[in-house]
Amino acid sequence: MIDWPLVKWEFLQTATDKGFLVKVAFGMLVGLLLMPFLASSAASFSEGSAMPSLPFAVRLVRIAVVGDSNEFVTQLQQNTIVSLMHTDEAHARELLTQRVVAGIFIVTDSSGLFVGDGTPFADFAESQVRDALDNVVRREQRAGLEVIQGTSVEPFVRGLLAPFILLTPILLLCLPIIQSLSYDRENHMYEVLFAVPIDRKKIFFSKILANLLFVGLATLIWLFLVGLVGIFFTDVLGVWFMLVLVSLLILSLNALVSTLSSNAKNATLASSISSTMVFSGIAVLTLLRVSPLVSRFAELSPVTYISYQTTGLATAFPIPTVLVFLVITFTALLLALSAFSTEKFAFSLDPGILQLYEGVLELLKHKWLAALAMGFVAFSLSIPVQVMVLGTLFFLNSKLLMILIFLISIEEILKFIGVRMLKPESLQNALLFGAFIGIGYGLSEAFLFVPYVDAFFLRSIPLFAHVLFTVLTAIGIWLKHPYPFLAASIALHVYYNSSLVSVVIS
Amino acid sequence: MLEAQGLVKRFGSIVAVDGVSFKAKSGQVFGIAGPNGAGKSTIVRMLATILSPTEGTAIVDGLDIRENAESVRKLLGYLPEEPRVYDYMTGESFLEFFSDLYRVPRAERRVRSLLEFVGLEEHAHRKIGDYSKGMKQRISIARALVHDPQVLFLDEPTMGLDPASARELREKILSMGREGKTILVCTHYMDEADFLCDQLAILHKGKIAAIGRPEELKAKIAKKRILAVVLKEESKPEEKRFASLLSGRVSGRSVLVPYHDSSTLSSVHRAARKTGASIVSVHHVDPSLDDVFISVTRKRR
Ligand SMILES: Nc1ncnc2c1ncn2[C@@H]1O[C@H](COP(=O)(O)OP(=O)(O)O)[C@@H](O)[C@H]1O
Ligand SMILES: [Mg+2]
Repeated sequence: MIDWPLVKWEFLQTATDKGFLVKVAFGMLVGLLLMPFLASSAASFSEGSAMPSLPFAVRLVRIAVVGDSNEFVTQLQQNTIVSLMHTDEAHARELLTQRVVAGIFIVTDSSGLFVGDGTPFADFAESQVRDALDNVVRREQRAGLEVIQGTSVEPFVRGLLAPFILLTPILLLCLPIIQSLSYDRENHMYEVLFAVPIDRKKIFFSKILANLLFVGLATLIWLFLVGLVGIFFTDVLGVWFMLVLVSLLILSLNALVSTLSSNAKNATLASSISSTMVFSGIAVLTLLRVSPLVSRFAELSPVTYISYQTTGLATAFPIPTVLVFLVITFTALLLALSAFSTEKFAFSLDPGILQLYEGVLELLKHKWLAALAMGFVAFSLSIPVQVMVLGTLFFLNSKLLMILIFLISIEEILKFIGVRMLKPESLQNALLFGAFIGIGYGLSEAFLFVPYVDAFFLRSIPLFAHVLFTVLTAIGIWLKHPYPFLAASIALHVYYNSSLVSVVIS
Repeated sequence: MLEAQGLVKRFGSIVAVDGVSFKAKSGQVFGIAGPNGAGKSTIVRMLATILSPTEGTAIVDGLDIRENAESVRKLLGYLPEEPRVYDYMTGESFLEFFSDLYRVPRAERRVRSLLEFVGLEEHAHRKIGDYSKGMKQRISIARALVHDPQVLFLDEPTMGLDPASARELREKILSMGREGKTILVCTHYMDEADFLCDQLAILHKGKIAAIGRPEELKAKIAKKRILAVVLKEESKPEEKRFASLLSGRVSGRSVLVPYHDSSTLSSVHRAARKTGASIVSVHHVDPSLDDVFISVTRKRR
């Protein structure tokens, strides 16, 4: 996979480029001046982490219910703020001490008992139970609203975003790959490089590796400098690995945009867009921490990890983050490599998205494999887009249904584009492509999200549902009435998911 | 040994190369001549394994370019049509870089001697970006030779060189041929092809229009020789009618007349009498490769 002499030359090219090194040094210097800000903000981050809040207009106050539902429980269920959990008494009490639930309702023959925070355990008359419950609910709701409206949010958000200072040099450090790929293309160097007895894949990966080695070295120096101004991490190696992981993603995206643009200028422009997308994706992911409903998403963010590390907390290295980043990185690399291997790339005639399609087909000679790959690609693309949309909707305080519709539309549209690129010419083709894109998508989702994410609306969407909806879309494309079918599969998907959600809630 | 077998290359609807087959023996300079756009570069790029043929294949020293692309690349040196160089490298480091990529062992490196070979030893430490166009072409040639390849593909090697350097390079190509290398040269200069090639294929619209040794090709059309008739200055008005009687054409000072047999000469005199033109001279014209080219491509139109 690697040609070491080429790695050596590429590395030296970057490491001896004085203009570039000066820029990197300057960027790091500015970062160092901002470091005290990082230190102070990270502290407010860890304080803020315990805050409850009200991100969505959905059930927020959790009440544990012990025993079978009676009429009162049914009424309680209709309260849009309350979310009920059925469990046994011992577990319920445990949850109450951990403050996971705000109270316990124990069903009795007449009505029930209520035990809440600050409410002594007693056999109340029904009206008293209602009053006690109302009090608890109102108090919890008020606390939530205060967090959203109160001034305490601001330092909290600052705390979340401060670790970005640590990440910013990465943007600069990942630029050489653009130079390397685009310079060769602009100057038609591939006409001689591809005549050398080195496989094209090797040339590609050697260029990436050379830049990655440079990043690895530079980030080590960076962490050392950061240590000099008094910022320490519990696990420096972990933080370093996180920096390299983020760099690898940015590098791969840079490689992708370079192979798809005709010159370095366009590529740099496209790269600034893709890097911004990655950074805002990370930012939104981190901000999800504000909400208890989706806060576990925030654990996926490298910034969350870095924040913990800055405040001296000993946190485990987040393996799911590595998985998510590697899947997106791998997809970007695969796409870049397939574009790189096309003849259009070597002879730089009107590069573009079509080159990508040809490249994918060239790499994967079988169409069904290409369809499976498209499923993975669609999934990788959907993560950053969905995270950003989710973040936006979250700040707009949207209804759950709205969120569902948006997220599902993104999924279905991406899979739709995948089927379209494969151009099904027969019904059999359409079914095959739809099914394999569905499988690719569903599998990635199953591997990455289901075991990890606690959010109910993303939980356990079975594989076959994806297959079904994508096949429907594919049939629409084959019948040349794509949009009604796309709309139908989105509608079905939303219906399906919302029924899932109601099952999970009740 | 180099053998092309039914090479076809299509770019979308454009057929750039349309079924090209030929054989070149070791120690031979094989030429492909033809106008711009004939498909010469496309053929060479396929042979150099940087483009894959739509149909057909080629065998280089017993290796199939489709199946053994990587081994084939070790054997061959490829000089692209335009110099492809790194402007930020010095001439010397450029050659070192490619020696590394070709895995040439330190002891066998020829960087110095190659720089001398192309006359750039004094510019070894200058950035290639500061080289003139001819110097870039010369460093490119040296680059194609770093691994001392047995097979050389040269796409328009003298383009961009001044006449003296071009002549010098042609001599060097011939001497490398005498060393036993198989050399394929593309050119659109017919006199260059005539000078260099042992075998020559004339390419027209992606197809081989004629193939053979340059002398053979010339001899073939020499059978249909041409008479150049020069008329007196005062006979200018009669020139047109004179030419049309003999189904010839006016070219500069002469009227070119197709020569069929000895009776052609008396037809010329008859036509002169008829039109009242007076003749200064009549002589045979030896065909050049240009004439060969015009004659083979006209047939195909
Ligand atoms: N990468 C390409 N994409 C599309 N058309 C091409 C490409 N390369 C060459 N062609 C076309 O193929 C034909 C042959 O080109 P080329 O081999 O460069 O001819 P020559 O070297 O004889 O001048 C031309 O019509 C040219 O426009
Ligand atoms: Mg050419």
